[in-house]
Amino acid sequence: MFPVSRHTLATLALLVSAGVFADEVQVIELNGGQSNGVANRGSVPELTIQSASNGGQGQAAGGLSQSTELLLLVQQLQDEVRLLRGQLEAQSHKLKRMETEQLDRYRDLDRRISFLMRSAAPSSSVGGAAPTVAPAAKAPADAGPRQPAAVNGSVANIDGNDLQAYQDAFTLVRQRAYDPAIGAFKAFVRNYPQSERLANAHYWLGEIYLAQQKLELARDSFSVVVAQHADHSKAADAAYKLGKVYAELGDKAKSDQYLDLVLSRYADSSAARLARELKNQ
Amino acid sequence: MVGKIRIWWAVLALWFIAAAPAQAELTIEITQGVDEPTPVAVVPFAWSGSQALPEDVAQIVHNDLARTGLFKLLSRDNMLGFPSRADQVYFRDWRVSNTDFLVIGRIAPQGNGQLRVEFELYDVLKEQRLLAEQVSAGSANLRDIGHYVADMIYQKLTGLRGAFSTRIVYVTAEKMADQQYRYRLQLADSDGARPRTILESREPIMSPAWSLDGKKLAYVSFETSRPAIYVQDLASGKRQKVQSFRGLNGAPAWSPDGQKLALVLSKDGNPEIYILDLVRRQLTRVTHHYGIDTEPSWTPDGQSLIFTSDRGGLPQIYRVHLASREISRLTFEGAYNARARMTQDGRFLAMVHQTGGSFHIAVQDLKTGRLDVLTETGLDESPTIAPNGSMILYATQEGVRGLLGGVSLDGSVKFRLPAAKGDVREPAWSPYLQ
Repeated sequence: MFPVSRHTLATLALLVSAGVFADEVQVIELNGGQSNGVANRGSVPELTIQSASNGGQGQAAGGLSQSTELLLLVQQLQDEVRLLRGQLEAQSHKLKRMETEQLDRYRDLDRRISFLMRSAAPSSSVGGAAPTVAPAAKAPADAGPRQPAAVNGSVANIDGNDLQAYQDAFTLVRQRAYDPAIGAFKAFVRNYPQSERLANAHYWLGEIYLAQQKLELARDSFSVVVAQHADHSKAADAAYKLGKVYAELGDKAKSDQYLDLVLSRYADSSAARLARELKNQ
Repeated sequence: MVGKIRIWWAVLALWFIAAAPAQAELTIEITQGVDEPTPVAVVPFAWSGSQALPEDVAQIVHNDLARTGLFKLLSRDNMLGFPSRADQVYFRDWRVSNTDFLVIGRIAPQGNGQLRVEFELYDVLKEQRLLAEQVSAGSANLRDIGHYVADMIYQKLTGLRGAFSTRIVYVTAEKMADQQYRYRLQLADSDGARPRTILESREPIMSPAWSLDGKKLAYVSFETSRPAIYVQDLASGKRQKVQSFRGLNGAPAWSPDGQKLALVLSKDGNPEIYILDLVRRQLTRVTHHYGIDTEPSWTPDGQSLIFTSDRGGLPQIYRVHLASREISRLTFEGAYNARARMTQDGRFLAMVHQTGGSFHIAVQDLKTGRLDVLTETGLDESPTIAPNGSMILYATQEGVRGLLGGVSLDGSVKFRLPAAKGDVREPAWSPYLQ
């Protein structure tokens, strides 16, 4: 049940009182402007002009006109505030909905990726890759002597070897064979210092140490990624993990320092979101 | 503004719509049901007394169940027999007529005017008795018994508490002479039967609202030429004017504890929502905004009010938490959402929603934010929800005549309750009655 609004009554009253003045047209124009809310900023100067012209008509009329104008102005502002409020409400609602949707999408993606990773692990060792796995398993052991040869050989050859060694080490992580995985990644770091995956190896060393609660070792590994591979895709994650490790070590200042680093340097990364959540805890 | 125009239209309609003078008894027409209704047969109850009974109890049960749209009722002509006791039931007969559930019953005089009604519900396919109960009543209360039996069967078959034993109130308008109307506040069974007039006036009666114990009604009456809010006790008929300020006094809504009324007053110049403590006679202002705040109703927990406001430029539904006075907007779809009512579980919001220039009843799921438009008729208004949340009753238009429509919360079942004559508006569904 919507009754007549005060605006309508006020407007009616104003229309009656406005009849006193010669510049009636302008007043009506102002009234008309309120219906579309936004477009009436330009009419404010008109008001000033009108008040100046009315000023000459005597004290009583001038006083009434000024309060009339004020009333109009207030009404105009009220209408505009209402409009803006409506827009703000609608937009904050939309934003909130988008945030939840994004989070849902992220969770869905995360779920699918981890599903893929889990299903990919057995297939690579069981499927067509099986013959290559056997020699590669020995790779960390005899990689040392072979490495110089590899360096001398073609770049493609190096890539092939370091990819294999990296994947083998990573397979160990997936199988939760942490100690062998540490050995494999350490060997990788030693054997392929030029590899593109060096940062990844350090990062995963850090992750394994973190999983084993060897916080100092984890810290050292993550620090290598952040310090030496700042532009690497894993750097943001490593910096976030450093923040986490320091927090667990009880060094709040250092922790914040790294979380801030994530937020400033890698503001768009998913790590930044996590960092923000961690900071807000 | 559309909102204002529409409301004025509604007020004007109350004033001017012509209605033939007669008792406005409602009849029910089911216009849409679910796709695969459960087949049920209600066999006429056996009567062992001498004089004919004033009511056909089985027919009342039959009609109640049919109205939900969830059941397909076997007509009596197609019944292969009229069993009234377990040993007379031949399940094969009922399987042949594709009946899944069977209701039988018998009524016997008990002396001093009392009747004993026994009824049983059978699962035909499993050949099992699901329910057997007996109730006593005076012959004047046979309709109540019918609704009670329907409630029991409905609950057994759907798991939901039945709401057939509830009542509805509504306002009728009849044109007596030129510019002269007769307004009646009517109380009837949930199926529209047994209407009785609670209040009759030459001036409009609006916004009837039930107290949650079902014993009192609050409404707005213009009988003193300006709107005033009254509270009337249904048992005694005694009434009391609780509020009459200058300007608008409207849209009363009872708090769940029955101690307070939320209402709209424009005594300070602009429609705002207030809460009136009926015990301490204390008035508290809830909203402070130069926009229009109106149509309050309580959330079932009594912690918040939901109301319609155009503080955002367009009429939308807001919720104000009473302790913190925090206001949040609930509806975002469309340019007009008004007069919201919440289901007792707090999950759904029924409201008037504008799409494409006409007004429909819509339901918003507050958990997912999803809004469903339930009705196709235009100019639908005043939704009121059955206490079990299964149905929404609303006022609508057919030609120039106002009538009541019903729709299930999922929109799958629809029915209409046109009055035999006259104009019906402003329905309010009672809570569960003891």
